[in-house]
Amino acid sequence: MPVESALSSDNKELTISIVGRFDFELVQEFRSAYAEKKDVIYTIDMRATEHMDSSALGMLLNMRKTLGESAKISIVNCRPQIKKILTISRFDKKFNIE
Amino acid sequence: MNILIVDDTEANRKLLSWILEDDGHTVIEAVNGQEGVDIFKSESPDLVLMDVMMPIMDGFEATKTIREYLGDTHVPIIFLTALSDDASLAKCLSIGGDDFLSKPINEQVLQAKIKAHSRIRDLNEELNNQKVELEKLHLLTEREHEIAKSVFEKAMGASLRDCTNTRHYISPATTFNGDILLSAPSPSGGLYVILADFTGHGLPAAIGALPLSQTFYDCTVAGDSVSDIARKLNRSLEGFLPDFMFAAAAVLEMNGDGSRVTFWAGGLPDILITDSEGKLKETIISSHMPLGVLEDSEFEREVTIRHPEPGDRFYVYTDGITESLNPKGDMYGDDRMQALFDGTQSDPFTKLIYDIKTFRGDLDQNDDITVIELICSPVELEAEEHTEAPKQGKLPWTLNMSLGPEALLGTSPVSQVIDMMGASPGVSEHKDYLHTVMSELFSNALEHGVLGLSSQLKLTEDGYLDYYTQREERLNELKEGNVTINVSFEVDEKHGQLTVQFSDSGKGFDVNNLRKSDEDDSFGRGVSLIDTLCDSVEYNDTGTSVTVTYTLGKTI
Repeated sequence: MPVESALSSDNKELTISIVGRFDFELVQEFRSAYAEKKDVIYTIDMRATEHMDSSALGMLLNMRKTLGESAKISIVNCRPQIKKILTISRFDKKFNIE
Repeated sequence: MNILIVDDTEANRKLLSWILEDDGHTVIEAVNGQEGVDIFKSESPDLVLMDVMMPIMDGFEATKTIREYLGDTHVPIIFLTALSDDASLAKCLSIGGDDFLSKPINEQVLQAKIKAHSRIRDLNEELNNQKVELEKLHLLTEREHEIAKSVFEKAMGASLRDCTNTRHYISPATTFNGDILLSAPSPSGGLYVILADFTGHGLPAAIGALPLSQTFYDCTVAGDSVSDIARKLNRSLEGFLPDFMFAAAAVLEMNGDGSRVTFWAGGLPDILITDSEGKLKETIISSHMPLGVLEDSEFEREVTIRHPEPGDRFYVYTDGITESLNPKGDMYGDDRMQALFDGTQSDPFTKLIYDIKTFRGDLDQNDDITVIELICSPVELEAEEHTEAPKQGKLPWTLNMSLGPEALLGTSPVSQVIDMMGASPGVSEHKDYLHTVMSELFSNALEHGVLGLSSQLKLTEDGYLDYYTQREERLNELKEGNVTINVSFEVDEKHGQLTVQFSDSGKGFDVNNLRKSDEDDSFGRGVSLIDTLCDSVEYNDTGTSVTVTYTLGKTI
């Protein structure tokens, strides 16, 4: 599965992992990964994400809009090229990028 | 049996020979003690009948010499004596004789004693053989242990180097350690740590170290998540170890800046978290079954996540610590351990190790002891040596393709184009950024150009979905239209330059409008990515063609 979500043992933190290419083909899957869980800390684990394009950036922004500005969303374990894309797009303003 | 008769009286020798040969023994004769010793050395008889009073060397002396010569080997020596006083008989035995026969010799007693001593001799021989065998085995085991030990040390070797983020203490109860502690950097700049305690200790416990360490390193190189690592370790141990063997373990990952620790723990004592002063903040019980117990399908992969303050410390340890015994038989226990973390100790880690040793006193360590301290701060690892690829001659080239409806329908052609470009020396290290640039250019040409989709659709979340639904529908219905890609690569002495042109058969789009999206909008991101990553970007007037240049050899 290119998108996997897992709750931590205390049910407080939802980790969404994206494997391979993060692009428009994951639109549905990505949305359903976070849509059902409310009031948790969201972590997007990009350790296995090889590429992402602007459609993925749009998907992340949609996630932010849907969950609201107060939701805690972190993007973690980015490879350098992914981090660069996030930085260029100034995503550090909207997300906690580790 | 081969029997030596030492007697100076010929009649005695003849009589004995006659009896013994009649019973099927072979007989050698010596006429005095000295000759007896010489013949004994040359003929190695199985039993000796020894007269006491003889010229040149008497029986006592001869027996003493033979015993010294024999060392550990046992050959029965029976004295033949006319002496009957207790002192003389006692001397026979104390000097090294095994028995005595009174003269005149009684045939039946002689036969019975020879039989009895031959039995003792056989037993002795067997014992000696077993002793030799045992020594051989012992040597072999020692050698095998040496070999196994060196394999283990190699398998785990690199792991035991502490970096600025960890301190550890390992003390096996025997040569082999049933506790395993490994650490490895993660591809995203963080740190992985695993501590595992196999059932029992010594060699059988240490055997599990091999599959465990191999699997762990495979996972860390691939950058797997903690729950994936735990699951793969479980699968590997479950398949490898016998049912009664398993490993209590904790797998931890700290991110690069030390602000996040994710872990999976099964069967280990509570993990302690303290602040930078060493004051206990939290204890976390191992919520899972040890590794190697559950089948893959039953495996529980939930992880625990903590967001520590800078300088916080995690202490993970094996039950060898809490179950350390003192000479009175008391266990060290959780309370004694946790009492050290009250914030008053300047260095609770060192104090703990000292405390355990003092508690145990003279008593031998009863189990392997391992403890690791993980300090939550930005991960600093020794930089790996970087070898620079040799410079190769670079040739200019061009790549042209025109993609019609059928080619556009399948998966994105970008990866394939990138692979072709990457085959050229000097381009491959830019593949990742080029992939981004080419993907964006291709999406724009296809979606806004050929398919005529408008970004305005993407304004809402539902619209965003709609946009991609329409993309698929229109792509499936596409009868005509194309995207052409032209890439040229030129080199001068210093660096190479790629010029990439995308043209499409669409109606064109308003380039200026695209650039106006603000940072909250979920569209228009691609254009700014292209702007930043490329040296120059030029659209033609109608927006049906875009040309970008990208310089290789610059640092990004």
